[in-house]
Amino acid sequence: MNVSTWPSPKLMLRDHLAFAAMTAGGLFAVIIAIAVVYDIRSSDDVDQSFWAEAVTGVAPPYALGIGVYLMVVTFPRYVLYGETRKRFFQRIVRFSIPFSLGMALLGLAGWLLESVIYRIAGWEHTIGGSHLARSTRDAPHFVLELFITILPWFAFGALFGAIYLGRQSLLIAAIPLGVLGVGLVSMLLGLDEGPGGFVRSVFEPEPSTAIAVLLSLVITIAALWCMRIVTRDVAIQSQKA
Amino acid sequence: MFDDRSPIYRQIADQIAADVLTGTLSADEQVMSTNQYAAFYRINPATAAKAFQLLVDEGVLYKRRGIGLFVAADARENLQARHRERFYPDVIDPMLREAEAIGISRDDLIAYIAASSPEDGI
Amino acid sequence: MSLSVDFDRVTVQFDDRRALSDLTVHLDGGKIYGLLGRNGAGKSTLLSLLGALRKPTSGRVLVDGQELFENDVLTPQVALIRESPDVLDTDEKLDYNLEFAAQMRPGWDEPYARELVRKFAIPDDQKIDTFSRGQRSALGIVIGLASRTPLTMFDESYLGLDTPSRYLFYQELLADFMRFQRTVIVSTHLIDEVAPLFEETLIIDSGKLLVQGETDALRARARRFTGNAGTVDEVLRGEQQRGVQQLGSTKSAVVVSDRIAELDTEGRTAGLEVEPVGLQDLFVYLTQEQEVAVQR
Repeated sequence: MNVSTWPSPKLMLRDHLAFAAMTAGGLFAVIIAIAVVYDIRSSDDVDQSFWAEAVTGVAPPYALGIGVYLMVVTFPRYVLYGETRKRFFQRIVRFSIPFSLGMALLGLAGWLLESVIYRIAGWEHTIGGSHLARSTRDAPHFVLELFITILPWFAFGALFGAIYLGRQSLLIAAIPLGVLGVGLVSMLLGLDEGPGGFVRSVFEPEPSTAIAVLLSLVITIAALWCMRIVTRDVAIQSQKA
Repeated sequence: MFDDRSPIYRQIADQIAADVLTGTLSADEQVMSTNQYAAFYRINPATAAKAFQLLVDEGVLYKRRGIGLFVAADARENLQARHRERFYPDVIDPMLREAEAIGISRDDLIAYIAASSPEDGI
Repeated sequence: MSLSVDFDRVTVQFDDRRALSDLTVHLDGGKIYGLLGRNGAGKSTLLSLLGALRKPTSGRVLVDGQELFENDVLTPQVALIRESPDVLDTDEKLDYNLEFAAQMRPGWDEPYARELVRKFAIPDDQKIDTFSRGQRSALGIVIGLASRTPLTMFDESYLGLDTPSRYLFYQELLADFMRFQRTVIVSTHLIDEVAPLFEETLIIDSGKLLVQGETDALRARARRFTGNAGTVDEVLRGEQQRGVQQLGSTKSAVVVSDRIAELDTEGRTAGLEVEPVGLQDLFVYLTQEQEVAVQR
């Protein structure tokens, strides 16, 4: 057994990307149904992407949920199967980037597929609200925006899950810090949504994609590092049936 | 299978010795291996090994390196001799004490033994 | 390959109670151990330390001479199957759980796992959360055996299993132990059923080691003496009497002592009935101590 390399998150990625794809498929069907109903019931034509709005809103909290799940449910099972807490941390670090990127690509796939359906239906496929991408020609921007918002949300999910297992009182400090962190990333991207509205009323930074990317990576590393500290000695409790 | 009256390894050894006495196991016949025995009776192999070691020490079994354990040629004779020695203190003396306690006289006992015949199986 | 175990003055303190108290134990590698203790005696805490599931409050837990907690080389070689059993992913089916175990355990034997699944008749077409308690326990046992970990522990892994399935477990444990020798620790309340499997038995009580030794040797240190109360007390003077029963002038008491051979002869000579004691009874008498003291 090679313990010098960080363990592979292959099985974890396969499971969670497959599940994310299923969830995305379900969401996509709902979004298209809403567009069709809107087209029939409303006097206006459909003129903007519903998917872009839905996926940028839903994907980050979904990633947070996966982060919590991996710590609360999956982590104890890995330890029960002989994994050290340190190696599980390494596994999660290796998981975070391909998972967030995979989710961003699923988001893009839905967006592109939606544009095809819109074209067939004769609808206009614009993107509402403030986003890095302006049209489907800006695919890399669309992926970048999703990726750097999803990544820190996932990391904070893992941290919250770890705190839940370890020292629950720390949640009082961790949740506001998480909101602040992911809120700042959204603001730096120039998005008018996302958490941290209260921050905006006090402090509104100049949008900068470069700084947003940097901040996203920094707070992801910080949150995962805190997760490592919280789980360093955590006991795996027995789950009575 | 085994009771609490004596250590399990002792009971196993006694069982094998009894098989030798009755002729179920004959001279130079191979006995089950420790593992076979342990699996069959669902006991720890170390316990079975201890029983076999006891029998080797007592000269009932002997080892053939790399093959297994066999019944010693003179095992049956030795066991019979040993059991003969123990017969009076272990069997007859308690019987006499019991007889006395319940009021059977020595004469009655002798008369009973004299009247019984090996052909009746008594 | 098998692993030795050492507890060096180990204490585990919870918020409200002390689960293990300055415990020092040595276990040689390559034997089957029985771990006995009443509920709350500290069995599960002891095993959770050996499963690397928690860190002791003080003291050291060593496996193969090295500290176990967070030891990347050792923890994959250690498996603890405990109740529920929590190694199972209940949202998934059999195949997924076996695949996961295969990924995590370097010594995993897939054909053996499949053979055991057949023998225990574990269904492969439904999620674990629809399993009966016995089916879950059986799958936990399959994973524990097929992982072939050099230190394997079963903490009351028989819950919900019917008698034939429990005997199948004992039989398979023994057969596989003989094929691949390792260190096995079994914690159980069904003592009489499993006792012949144990090479050594440990009894813990109130977080402390009460006795440890070869199962036969432990039993050999105990006798029940029955007869006239005065004679019993005379023969057993200076010894701690356990499991005392009295009916009129007849008294019966169990003694665990290093001088047992002497007492045995003395008792018989004095006309007492002297009987051996089974492991289960011995366990009851040893761990009952405090309550008896309170009653007096």
